[in-house]
Amino acid sequence: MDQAIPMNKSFFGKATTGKLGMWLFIVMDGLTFGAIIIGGLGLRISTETWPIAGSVLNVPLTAFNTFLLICSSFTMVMALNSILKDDQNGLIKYLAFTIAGGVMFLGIQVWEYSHFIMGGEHLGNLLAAVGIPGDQFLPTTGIYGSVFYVTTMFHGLHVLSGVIYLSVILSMALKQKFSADNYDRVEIAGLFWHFIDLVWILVFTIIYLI
Amino acid sequence: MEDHKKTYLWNAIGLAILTVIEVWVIGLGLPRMGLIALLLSITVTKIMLVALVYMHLRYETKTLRRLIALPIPLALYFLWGVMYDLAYSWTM
Repeated sequence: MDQAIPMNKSFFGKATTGKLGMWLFIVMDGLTFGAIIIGGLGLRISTETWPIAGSVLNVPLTAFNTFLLICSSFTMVMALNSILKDDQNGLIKYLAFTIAGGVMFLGIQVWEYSHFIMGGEHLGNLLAAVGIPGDQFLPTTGIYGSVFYVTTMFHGLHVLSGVIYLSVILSMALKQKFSADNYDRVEIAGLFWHFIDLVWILVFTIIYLI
Repeated sequence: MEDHKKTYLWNAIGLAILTVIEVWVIGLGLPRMGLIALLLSITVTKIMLVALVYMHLRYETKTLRRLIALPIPLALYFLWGVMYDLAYSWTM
């Protein structure tokens, strides 16, 4: 068994500086997401053609994707809960579930994109019903297409980053680098993952439901 | 930190139920503005649940919570700025 990482922590109040750093990153990233969402809303208000919820986008499938991210947030917090009790197997198991949830989310998003990009008669009919010409839904399909792809793709890149980040944490967990006294990196990675879930909750409502 | 397994589980169930409610209400034919207000209220509730329980803000110090809350009015100020510009572009 490898030696646990030594405790070289410095603190800001009760939080480690690493945790504070992640919070500052989250605030900054939140403002970036805010700018994208607000910009999208601004464009939406100034555009006449905007499909109503569910007329083009697949709401039930995306609701399932939201459910997946909620479940992965639960497994992520359970991974932290496990290492706080020095349960190495629990940490590994829950981290693996979280990564699997992220990969499934991305898989569904890629399937959704491929369905829109390849297009077809059914999609063409849906688009025609809301006044959008063509049988494909692309980033170039008017302002609606641009706003949809920019917002969801920016979030999707965050999910991909989170999956890579958690894979690194999982590889460290497999080498038993964490313990009940040394869980800071798991907690910090968890903050990033929960932030991704939090942003998706907003994106799901703004892009898919309203 | 204490073991909050039950809290985490109930939080996940609550978030899932709120998601189902969100999808359900869009098919009810509610007035547009009422629907938007309802959906945004549910969304804010879900965001608060994730931030307070899963991100452990509920258990953090007041100083850290204030540091995180500080940019929110700033973001609202930016939003107001964008809306002001939007109103200007409509009148041109």
